[in-house]
Amino acid sequence: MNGMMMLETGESYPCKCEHMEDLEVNGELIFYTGMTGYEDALFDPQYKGKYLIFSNPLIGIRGIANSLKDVPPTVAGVIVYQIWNKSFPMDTFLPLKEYLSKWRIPLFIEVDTRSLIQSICQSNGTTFKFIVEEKVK
Amino acid sequence: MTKRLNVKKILVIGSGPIVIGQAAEFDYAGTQACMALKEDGYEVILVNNNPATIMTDEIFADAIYCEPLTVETVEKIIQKERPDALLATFGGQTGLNLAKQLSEQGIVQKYGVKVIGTSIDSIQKGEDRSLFRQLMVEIGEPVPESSIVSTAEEAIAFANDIGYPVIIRPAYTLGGTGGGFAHNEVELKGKVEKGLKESPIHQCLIERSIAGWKEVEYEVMRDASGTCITICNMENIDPVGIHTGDSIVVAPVQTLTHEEQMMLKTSAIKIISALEIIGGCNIQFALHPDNQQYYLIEVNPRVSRSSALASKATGYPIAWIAAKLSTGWMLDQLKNPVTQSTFAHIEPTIDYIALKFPRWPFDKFQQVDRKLTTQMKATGEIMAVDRTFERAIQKAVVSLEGDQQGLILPELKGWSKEQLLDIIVEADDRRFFALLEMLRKGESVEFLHSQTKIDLFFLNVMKSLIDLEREISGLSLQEVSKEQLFHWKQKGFSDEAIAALLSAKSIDVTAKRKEFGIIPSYKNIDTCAGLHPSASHYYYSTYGGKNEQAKSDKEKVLIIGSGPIRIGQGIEFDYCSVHGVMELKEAGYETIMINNNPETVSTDFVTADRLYFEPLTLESVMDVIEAEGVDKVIVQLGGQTAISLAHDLERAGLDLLGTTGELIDLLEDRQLFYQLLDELKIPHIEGDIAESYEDLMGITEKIPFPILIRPSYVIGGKGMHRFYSKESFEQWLNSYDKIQYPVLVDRYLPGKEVEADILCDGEQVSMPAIIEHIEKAGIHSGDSMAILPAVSLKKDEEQKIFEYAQKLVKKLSYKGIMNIQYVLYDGVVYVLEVNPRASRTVPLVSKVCGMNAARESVLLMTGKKQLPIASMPIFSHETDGNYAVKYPVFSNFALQGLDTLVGPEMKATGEGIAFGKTVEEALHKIFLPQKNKKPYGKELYCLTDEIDKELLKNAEHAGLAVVTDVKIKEWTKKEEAFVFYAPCEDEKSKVERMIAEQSRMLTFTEKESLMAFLSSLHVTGYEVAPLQQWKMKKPEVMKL
Repeated sequence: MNGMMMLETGESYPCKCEHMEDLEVNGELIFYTGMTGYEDALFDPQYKGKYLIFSNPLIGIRGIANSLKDVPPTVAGVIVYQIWNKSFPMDTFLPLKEYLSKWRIPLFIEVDTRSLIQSICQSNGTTFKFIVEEKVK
Repeated sequence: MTKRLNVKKILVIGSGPIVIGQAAEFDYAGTQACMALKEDGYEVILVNNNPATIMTDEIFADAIYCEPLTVETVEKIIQKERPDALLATFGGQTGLNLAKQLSEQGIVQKYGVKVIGTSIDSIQKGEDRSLFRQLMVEIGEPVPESSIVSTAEEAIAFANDIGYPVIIRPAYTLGGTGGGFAHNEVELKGKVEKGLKESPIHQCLIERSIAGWKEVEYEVMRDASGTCITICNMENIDPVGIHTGDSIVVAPVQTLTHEEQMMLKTSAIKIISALEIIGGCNIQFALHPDNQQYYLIEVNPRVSRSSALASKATGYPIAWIAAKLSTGWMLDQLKNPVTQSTFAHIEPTIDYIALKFPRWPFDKFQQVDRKLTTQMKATGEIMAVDRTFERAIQKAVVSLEGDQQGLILPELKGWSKEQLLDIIVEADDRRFFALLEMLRKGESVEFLHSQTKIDLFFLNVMKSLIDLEREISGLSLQEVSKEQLFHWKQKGFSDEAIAALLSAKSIDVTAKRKEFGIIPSYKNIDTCAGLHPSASHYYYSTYGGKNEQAKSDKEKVLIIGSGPIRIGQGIEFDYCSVHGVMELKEAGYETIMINNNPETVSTDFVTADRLYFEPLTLESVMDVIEAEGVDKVIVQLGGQTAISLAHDLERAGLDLLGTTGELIDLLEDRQLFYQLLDELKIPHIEGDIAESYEDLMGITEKIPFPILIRPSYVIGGKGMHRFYSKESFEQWLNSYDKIQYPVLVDRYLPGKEVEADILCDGEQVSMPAIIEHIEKAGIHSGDSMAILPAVSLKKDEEQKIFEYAQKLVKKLSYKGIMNIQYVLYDGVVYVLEVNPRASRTVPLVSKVCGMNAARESVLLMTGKKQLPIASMPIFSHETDGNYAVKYPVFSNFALQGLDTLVGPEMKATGEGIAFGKTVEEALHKIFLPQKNKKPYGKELYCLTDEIDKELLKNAEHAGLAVVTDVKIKEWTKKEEAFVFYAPCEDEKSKVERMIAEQSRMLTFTEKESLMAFLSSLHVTGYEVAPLQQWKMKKPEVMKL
């Protein structure tokens, strides 16, 4: 679904969303700027219930280890620029998107995550609202 | 800033002339180091004999010694200058080796010079294989089973013990010279023998081969208090087995798990701490793709090519910070120069992909073995930055300026899968394009992975590009939607590539793209992923997201850089671009630089007001122009790369300061050029264009032999042939069935060649010096030795040279800088060639004449300066006692199969300079390293049909014994063997030249070069002096 991510400061970011139950989501944003480590960040207790933005532009290259697939993530949603979706050499890994889908975790893609993080850093505002395209109009 | 170290004078060692494995990255590192030291108030003494470097300019050091990089010379400099400290970790392997020798011979101790930064002890621990191994065993870090050998027998015994394949690594060599893999005893024997010869300490390391493992590099920094940070990690797309300088490399690492990454990072920090590095260090690992096993491959305890790349990839200036750390600063005391708001101990984080692609010289050297091994062969590299991996790849490919169309390398079209697989498995430089071609033919990524061990991620990205290619080619331009076009742009397809796939015109694709409002955004490279505000204007383009660049309303000039270093277009163009930028900045313009070479000073974000790391294609340049609102462009400083954009930029309505597209045509199109010279009554060499076989036969009837034949568009003399007789020409013609017409036919005059770089204001000309080549015309100017100022010209010849330059400038109303080449034959001065741009010799002329031609040229281009009328200063040998000799430096050691015979096609990768009170003294300095290497050398082996009497006399006079009938292999092993002279083109000469090259024998292929060498043998002593003392002081005004 195409939609718009709106910050409390009034800035908005167009994006696509998957695994959404509702047409509108409200939440609190947090970001992770590590270049590797998304596998750990998703389960980090300090991100519990938050929507996690990754600054690295491509997330999911190593999937999620099969041993973790039955563990729910702590984050409420994942916000990325791009997600890697191709198959992996070993059947011991699950594509990240499939894992998130399994746990019905909203995934926002094609987000200018760099700019979004900049906005958060400048304004200290961390709440957002996501609205699907039909509702924007 | 204030001094942390209680010393006054610091001696910095540079890396010398550019060779494969040691290129412009050390000019960047050295320039940064000098700036960092000067900022703190130290007096900087620099030794580097590469004139084309920015670091050897007076603004960066207090005294610059363009003197040979040998122990005895550096000792003389130390004696004279009495520096308090020595900084050697910025001059590549050359700098480290010198520092090591200076310490071993007790010279630093004798003069009480303190080695700052990483200690000699640490350098040795990092560089000496056995010490390094011992240290790693102590701290429990894994190194592959290996053994140090001094004979082939020891090597074979060890290999029999651990099993094949093994790697051979000679100790202390540049770019791994002489190394390689051996799969059996025969291969091992050959390679070890060669490697032992290459190694200055006659040692080789034989090591278990871990070919096929992932190759990962870490750039780590450490201060004296023990704080360590990693600046960047990088992954080679090509697994272990190909030198990292010849690999496609991506930053940050892509395919490692977090656990693997943390494991290697921990190891890297452990190693830099154990080595007690102060400054920067590069650590290379091999990681098993599946089981987390790893080995250390190599440690470079200094700044390197990889640290330059990491600096440009992250924005974090490693060399600058490393120089500060050397003088006692701690990481947490230094501001991060990019953000100006954070400190240097914070590890950079990046939110994009930076991809490095090597630039190889095989387009010029088709006879050279193009297989990629542990011996580096690339002459340069480019970096591409984007938010998507796909677009980073595509930006990299267009930046190569090769023959490829989009992602297609035309020469591979029609190859069978078997043929393609050959160059994929036994990798050569076309491997990447061969992989794409295989995917185009429907081969699976799994199969290619099994053959190459390249990670499936990389292969899948490549496959996604091929899938997109297919999608595009199934459509027509009319039916393309906005979403589709945006997606293709996001994935990096250029307008030209899209047009080719759609069978449409490039301008129509661009028009449609703009109609849809699809233009790139520019993002900042800020070391911190946007977490902190950044003060630098360092940008890359991407499709999608917000634009972070805002144009100012200042008057601005765009300077187009020269791209990757290749033979024929080297560091000198970066020198010109950087000086152009600096002068324009001082003149009050906002300067905008666009370039894609990560090794250089021009792509340091502090150089221009705004830096765009972008391909040098019309599309990328136009995008920057539109984003910045530029209307003035300088194309004269960026070599042929920039010149080739001139027409299109002009068509787009831009002002090409000082020049026009039409003018460039007039000088580059042979027919128009000869018409122009005829009109101006300037003599030119007889020549014609042959459109067909019949034409060619007719022309060769008219023009007397010897003749020169070449394709109509040439750079660096590519594909040029010289024939002395009708017979040899016809022989070539018969053996050559694929002549591409038109070809240029010129009479070859074996006369004296001179050239001049001239400054012009549209009317008047300033000619700082005339450069006289030592070799006769016919040898590419980049491969010949040359004397400044000219020594043997008559007054009327000098006047003619000047007069023709003035006539040309007046006629063309040209402003800026140009290079004119002349031949003097039989009392006539001929104009050979005019290059409407800065040339290779600009830095040379600037340094010798004590002015800065590149800087002056931009003032002339912008009209800020006019030259005085009718009084042209010209330096000549009568007015000043000093001479400079420029000499070519070759990297033939790295290019197996290359004949070292010099000719019209350029082969040198770099150049050096030497000064003297006489020409002979300067020549003596040039050959000093070879003379030192051969203390008992006294034999000159001449391989010619008949020995010239003059030569024989000079050789005897110089105390050499001429030998003629020797077996080259045995002879090169003799300690009396000194010089080899082989000027002929026959097969025997060629083979013997290659053998001589393998044993690094001093070889000459032109009589004039040999005579110059012989004349230098009479010199016994020499004087070292700073550039400031050598340069010309008294300009003579030439009356017209």
